[in-house]
Amino acid sequence: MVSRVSRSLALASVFALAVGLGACGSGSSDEGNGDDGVVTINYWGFAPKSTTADKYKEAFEASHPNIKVNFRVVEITDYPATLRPGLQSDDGPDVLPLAAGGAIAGAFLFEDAVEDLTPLAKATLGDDFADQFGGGYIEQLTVNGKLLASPFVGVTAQYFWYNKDLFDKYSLVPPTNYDEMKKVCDTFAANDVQCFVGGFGGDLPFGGELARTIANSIEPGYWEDAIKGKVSWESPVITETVDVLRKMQADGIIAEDAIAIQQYPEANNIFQSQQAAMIQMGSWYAQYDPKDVSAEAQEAAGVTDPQVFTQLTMPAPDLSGHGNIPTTLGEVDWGVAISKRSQHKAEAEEFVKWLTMTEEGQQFGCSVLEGVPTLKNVEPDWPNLNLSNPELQEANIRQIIEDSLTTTETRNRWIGPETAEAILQLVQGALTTNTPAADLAAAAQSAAKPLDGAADS
Amino acid sequence: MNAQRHQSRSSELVGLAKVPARPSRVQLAPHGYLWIFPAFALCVGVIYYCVGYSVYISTLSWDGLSSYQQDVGLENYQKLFADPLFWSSLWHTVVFFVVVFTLQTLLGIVFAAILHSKVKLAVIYKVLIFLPVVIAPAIMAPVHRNVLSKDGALNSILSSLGLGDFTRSWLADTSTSLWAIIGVQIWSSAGVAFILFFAAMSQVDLETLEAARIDGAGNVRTLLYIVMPEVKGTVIALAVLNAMAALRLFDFPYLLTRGGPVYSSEFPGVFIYREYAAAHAGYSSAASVVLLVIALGASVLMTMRHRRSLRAEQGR
Repeated sequence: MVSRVSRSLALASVFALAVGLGACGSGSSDEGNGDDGVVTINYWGFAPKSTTADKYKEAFEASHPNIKVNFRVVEITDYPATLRPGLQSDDGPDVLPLAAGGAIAGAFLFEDAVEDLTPLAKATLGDDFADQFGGGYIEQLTVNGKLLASPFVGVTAQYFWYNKDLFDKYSLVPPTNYDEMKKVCDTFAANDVQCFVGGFGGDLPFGGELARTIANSIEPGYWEDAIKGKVSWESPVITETVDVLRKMQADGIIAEDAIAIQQYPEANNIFQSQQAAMIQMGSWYAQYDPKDVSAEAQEAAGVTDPQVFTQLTMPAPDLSGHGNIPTTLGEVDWGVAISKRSQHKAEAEEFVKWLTMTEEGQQFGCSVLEGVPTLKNVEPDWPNLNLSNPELQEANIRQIIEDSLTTTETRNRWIGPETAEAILQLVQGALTTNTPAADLAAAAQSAAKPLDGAADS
Repeated sequence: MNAQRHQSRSSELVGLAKVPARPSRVQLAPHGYLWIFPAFALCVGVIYYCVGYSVYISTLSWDGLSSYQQDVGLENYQKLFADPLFWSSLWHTVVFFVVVFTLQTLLGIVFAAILHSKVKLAVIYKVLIFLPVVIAPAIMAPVHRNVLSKDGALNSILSSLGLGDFTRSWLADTSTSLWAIIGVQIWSSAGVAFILFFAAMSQVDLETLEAARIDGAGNVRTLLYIVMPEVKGTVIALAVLNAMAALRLFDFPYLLTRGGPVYSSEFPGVFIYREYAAAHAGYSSAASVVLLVIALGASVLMTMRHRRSLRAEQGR
C-alpha cells in the first residue's frame, strides 16, 4: 500500500515539476487566435499615451475587422526592463515602438529581437522607400543594414514652450538671452508664478537637454561632438555649461528642487495647470494644443475648472551670452518594430504598414499631434485639429514641421546607456553639489561611452 | 517570591532541556521524503533553477537580449568589487538597516507598551499605527514626494516652528535624500514592529509583571528588565526581517529618488535594476549573486547568534 502511494506521489511530483518547468519555458501561445477568426496583436509601448492609443485602435480596427490591437502602455523609464524579458517570451509584444537612439528605446539596443522591415517597406512602398520618408529617418532606424522599425513620427527638440496668456498678462515677451530671461523670471516671481519648470529627476534626459541648450549657445555642435566621442567632455565648454546651470539655479530660474521632480508627470502638470510660464519640450508637446487634450491634461494636473490657454514655442534663449541662438535638434522620434517572437507576424505587418506606410495612418498620427509626420507630403488634418488658438498654433505647428526638415543635429541618435548616465550625473552634480565643474566634466568623460560608428558619422 | 519564580522558571527551562531529542532525519526516511518531494521538486525546479541561471549569466558579457553572449568568467565580479557605486550602495544599506531597525524597534516597543496599558480608543490607535504597512509604496510615493518637496508639508511645519533655516528640498539634496528614504521607510514599517511586539508582550507572564510591580518596579524598569528579556526573540526576528528588507530594498528609493541625486540614495536593488535596464545583464546578475550571498550570510549569522544566546540562556 505504502509503495503504491509512494509511486503515485513520485509520479505526481514529476508531473508537478514538469508543469512548473513548462511554465518557465517557452511554449507556443495561441491566445491571439479567437474562434471568430479575429486575431489579437499586442502592442507594448511608451507611446502613444493611452487616450491616443484608443483612437489608433479604433481607426485601425475599423479598416481591419479581423485584427484587434491590445495596447499596453509602459512607463517610459521602465520600458527597457519591461521589454527585454517581453521580447524573449511568446507572450510579449508583437509590435513595439523604438527610437533612433537613447538609453531607453534606442533601436540598436534591440537589434537581435526585432524583424528587419526592409522587405515589408520595399513590398509596400517600392525599392525607393527610403526616399519617401523625410531626411534621414530610415537611416536612423537602420542598424547593420536592417531596418529595425518603420518611422512613424519625427521630433524636433530644444524648444522652450511658453504660456502666451501668462506672458501677455504681465506684458512680457519671450526672452532671447540670459538677462531677458532673468527679468522675465523676476516679474513672474513677483506675481507668484513659476517662470521656468524643469523636471530633472529620474532617468529622463531633460536636464541634459537644457545643458545641451546652454552648451550650444557657447559653441554650437560641441555637445553632439562630445556625445560622438569626437571631442572631450573635459572642456571649457562643458565647465562653462555647468557654471551657467548653477547660475540659473542661484538666480531662481531653475527651481531649487528641479532634481526632485520629473518632467513627467510633475513638471508637465505644473506647466499645464498654468503654475509655470515656460517648459523645455520638443515637437511632441504640440499634442496639448487641442482644446480637449489641454483640458484633459489640466484635469489630470488637478485643475477642477480647466481654462483654455495658448501654448507656443519660442527658440531657446542664448543662455551663455556668447551670441549663439541654440539650433533645434531633429530625428525620428519613434518607429514601429515587429518582435521576432511574434506569433502573428502577418497581422503585425498589417498594423505597421497601416500606421507608418500609409497616408491614412501617418496623417492620423500627425493629426493627434504626436509629432512630425515622417512620410513626405503628409500633413495634419488642419481644419479638424480643434486647437486652443487656431490662428497662432497652426502657424506654430507649421514652423515646427519646417524646422524638422532643416535641422542638422540629431537628438538621441548617438546616445547609448553609458553616455546618457554620464550626462544625467553631470547635470545632477551641477545642481546638487559643490563639486568643481572641471571634476564633473572629468567624471563625464570617464563615464561616457560613444556608440560604435558615432565618430565616423 | 521573586526568587521562587525564577527558580520555577529555571526548572522549566531545565525541564525543557530534558525533553527527549528529536528523532533523527534517518528515522523520517524513506517514505517521509516522498511527502515533501512535490514541494521540494517545485522549489528546486523553479527557484533554485533561476538562482543557478543568474549565476551562469553573471559569468557572461551579455545585453540580456541578443544571441551574442561572451563568457568572461569572473570578470563581472572583479569589476563589481572595484565599482565604488556598488560599495556605496552597500554602505547605504548598512546605514539604512541600523537606523531603521533601531528606530523601528524603539517605536514598536513604545507603541506596544502604551497600547498594552489601558488606553481609550486603543483599537483606533492600532489601526492608525498599522495602516501605513498595508498601503502600497507606489501609492504613497507621490504623497511622500509632495510632503518632502520644497513647498511641502514638512517644510511648512518646520517654518511654523521657527525652524525655517532647516527647510530644503529633502529629496533633491545629496545630504538628505538617504535620510528622507529612511524616514519614509520607518513611517511605513513601524506598524510591523508594533504588531510583533504587541503579540510578544501578550505572552509575558502577568504574574511576573504583578510581582515586579509589588517589588516596586516602575513602568520603565518593568519594561526594561521584565518585558524586554521576554521579547528578545522578537527583536532578533525583526533584525533578520529588516536585514533582508534592507538588502532587497527597491520600491522607495526607486520611486522617490531613483537612487539620486548623484547616487546619494543608491541601494543595491536600484543599482541592479539600472544596470539591467542599461543592457548590462551579466554585470547586474553578478551584483544579484553577491547580494544573495550577503543576504544568506547575514541570515545565517543572525540565526546562529540567536541560537547561541538561547543556548547560553538555557545553560544559565
